[in-house]
Amino acid sequence: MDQENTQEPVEATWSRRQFITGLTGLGIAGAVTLFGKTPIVTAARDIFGSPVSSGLIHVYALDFYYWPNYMTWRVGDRMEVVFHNQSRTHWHEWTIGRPHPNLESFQGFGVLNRDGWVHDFWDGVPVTLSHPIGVDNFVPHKAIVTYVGPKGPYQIASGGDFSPTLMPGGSITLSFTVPNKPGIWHFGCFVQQFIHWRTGMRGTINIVRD
Amino acid sequence: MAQNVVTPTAVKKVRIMPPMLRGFLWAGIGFVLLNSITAAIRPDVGHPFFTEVSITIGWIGGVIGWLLGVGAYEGMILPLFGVTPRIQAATDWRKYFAFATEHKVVGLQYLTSSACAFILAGGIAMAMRIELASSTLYFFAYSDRYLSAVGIHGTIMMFSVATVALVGGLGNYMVPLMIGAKTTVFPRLSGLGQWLIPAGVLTVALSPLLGYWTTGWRGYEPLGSQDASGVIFYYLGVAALTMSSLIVSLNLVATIVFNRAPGVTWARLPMYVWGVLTVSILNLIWLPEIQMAFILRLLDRLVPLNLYNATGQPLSDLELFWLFGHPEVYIVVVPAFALWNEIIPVMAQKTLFARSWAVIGLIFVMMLSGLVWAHHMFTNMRNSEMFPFSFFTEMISIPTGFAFMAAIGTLWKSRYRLTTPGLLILMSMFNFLHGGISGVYLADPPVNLQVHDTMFIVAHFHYTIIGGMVFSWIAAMYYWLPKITGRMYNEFWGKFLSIWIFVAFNAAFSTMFLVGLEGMNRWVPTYPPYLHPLNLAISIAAWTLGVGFVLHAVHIVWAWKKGPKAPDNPWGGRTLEWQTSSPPPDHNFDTEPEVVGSFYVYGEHAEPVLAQPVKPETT
Repeated sequence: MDQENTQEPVEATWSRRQFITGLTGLGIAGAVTLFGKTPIVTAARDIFGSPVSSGLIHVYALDFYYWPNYMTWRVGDRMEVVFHNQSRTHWHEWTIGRPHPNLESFQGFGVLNRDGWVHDFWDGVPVTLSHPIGVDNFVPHKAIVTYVGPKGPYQIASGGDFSPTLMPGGSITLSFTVPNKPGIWHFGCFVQQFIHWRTGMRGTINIVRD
Repeated sequence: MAQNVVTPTAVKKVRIMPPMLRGFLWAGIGFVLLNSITAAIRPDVGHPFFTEVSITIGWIGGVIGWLLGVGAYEGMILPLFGVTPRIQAATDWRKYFAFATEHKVVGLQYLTSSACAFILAGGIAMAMRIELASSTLYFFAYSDRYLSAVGIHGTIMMFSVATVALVGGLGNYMVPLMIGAKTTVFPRLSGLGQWLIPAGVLTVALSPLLGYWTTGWRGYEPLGSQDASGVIFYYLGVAALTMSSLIVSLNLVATIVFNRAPGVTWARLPMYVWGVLTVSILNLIWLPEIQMAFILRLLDRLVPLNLYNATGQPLSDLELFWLFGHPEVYIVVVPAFALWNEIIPVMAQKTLFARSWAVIGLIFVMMLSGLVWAHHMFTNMRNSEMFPFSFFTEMISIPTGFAFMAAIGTLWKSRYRLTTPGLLILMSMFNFLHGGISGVYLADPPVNLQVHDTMFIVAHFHYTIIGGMVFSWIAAMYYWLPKITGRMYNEFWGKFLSIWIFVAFNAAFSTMFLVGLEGMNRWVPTYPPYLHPLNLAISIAAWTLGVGFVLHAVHIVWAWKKGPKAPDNPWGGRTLEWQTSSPPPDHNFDTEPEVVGSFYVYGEHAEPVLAQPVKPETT
């Protein structure tokens, strides 16, 4: 296996400027990624726009984030959203709404944004649920819901906003037409007393008209 | 860097990409490659590109790419297959920023990595004190951000500073010199280990990208399994950092056992070498244990295994952590004890008092440190189970006292030179005394249960780690600065800054004892308003301390570059590193030293250390 290199050995060198600027650039990129990813991504979306999702799409819940965490929907489009909980340990839900504009005192933690939605996106929206797997509970709230198949697996419950809550590994399909509710809507998981939401389990839907 | 480097003028130079930049590039490629393969073959329904499993596998690819990119490809892989790379490593300043095998270069690389990590984790501590300057949340958006900051601070400080600076850093540089060796036993492995430090530190520092984790540096289960995915980067970062320390320890133990010069018997072994040897044995025993514990945590999360949830046994995770966690405390401070008795006889120019007992103290601290772990868990134990751990924890103060006894006995009636390193060593002893005595209180269950999880504990272990280890580290940097660089620091600024950090440190952490007794809990970013004045005072003192550390770093870097020339042996030390030129030549000694006298005997009984001088004629 011994292989002698017959060429004359040379010593490595490199540009000091390339070294310093490269490391500085990487350091800045790392810091910006860590602390400024949200404003940068938002600015990029504002400049370049975001493609409209329609038809069959998948929304994944993981610990503690959604994939994707930003979508653009168009009023009147037919949607078939397959919501998956891909956490191996945690129950997750998918709620859509507009957050409270008010602040609230949280005792020792001081004054923070109030938890929960002030408007539920699904109010009055016809939606068909199908293929329930590992559903822990489903709260229809004020949505107009059609269930495909027997209702047992949907674990229908009451209380709170429209929210399918899935056990680890669960999934469910929501079919609906995007209602005429344009503007920015937020989605999130409020499981464990909003801790998932506060930890970062949230996303945005921008609903546009043609 | 003023190393004596002999560069053959005939060697041609060829320009390459800077190895660290290549390391980042190859790390990115390795990460994307293995992440993609994992994402492609994983069996779950649907497949987001990044998942916990794919990121874990991708991280392994990233670290391998990083290590190969910084130079392990040419330095380790090609020679493994019998290929001599045509492009040889740089010999100028560039050698400090690439894979290297020379122990002095590796030591300086470790010191630089540790110092950068210290500044980074110290900066995070400053952010924590900004938050705690008010009783309500105002700096961090939610408490999990604050807890992530606490965890990153603790993890980086423990695994890449406290465990590394005195062993991987000064140990790699000084131990071969102090035992008369020309190199270490596993130089390639040692070179590889250093580059695991930046990989581990960056992994932990960037962990919030995957979500905030709230466990602190202990990573307790089942809390860790309830955290966001960021906790995975904590597990992986610690794996890299502990592997680095394991490599260092393996290399230095083998070097001390097999590479000692003639006459450097066990009875003559320098104190600092004893310190590094005992701590390296501790590392060899306990680091594999904690690595296995972390692998179990990782698998528990990824598979999941249900090891530590309600169907498993959460307490066993705590036991596994503290089995390592308390020896870790001694891994941190044992080299500091050794430094006290390395530097004090030199500054006093007086024979080291009760040297054998000082060595026995180090060895017994090493042995007893494995018998005390459960005092961290008294809240989970029966009274009868507490007793042996309480007993051994109090017992360990006795061999610790041997280090004090040797130091004070040497100081007794001496003409101690209050130089900057001499002053810092006394400060370190003062600080550690308070950390140690508060530790004896904490070994008593009634006190322990009363102050459990309060800031009293935080003050206690900062007195041992900053007060004991960091002050000794800075002392050692000033002590060996002329040896490493051939230059001398400014005595006024050295002492002024030492007094600065001493006052700021004691102001911050003695007040932290009080605020803990007043009821201030750990792990909370908010607290009742009556604790605000004391917390504000701690924050102001802590920021002052942080500035003082930075100024010390600036002063040392200034002295390194611009300080006045130092003589070869400015302190009159007798250990072998002072018998060669400053800075030492490439192979440390021009001829192999033969030791015939003791390193720590001064005064009328002093005999020559060497059979014949080893210093080169021109330096």
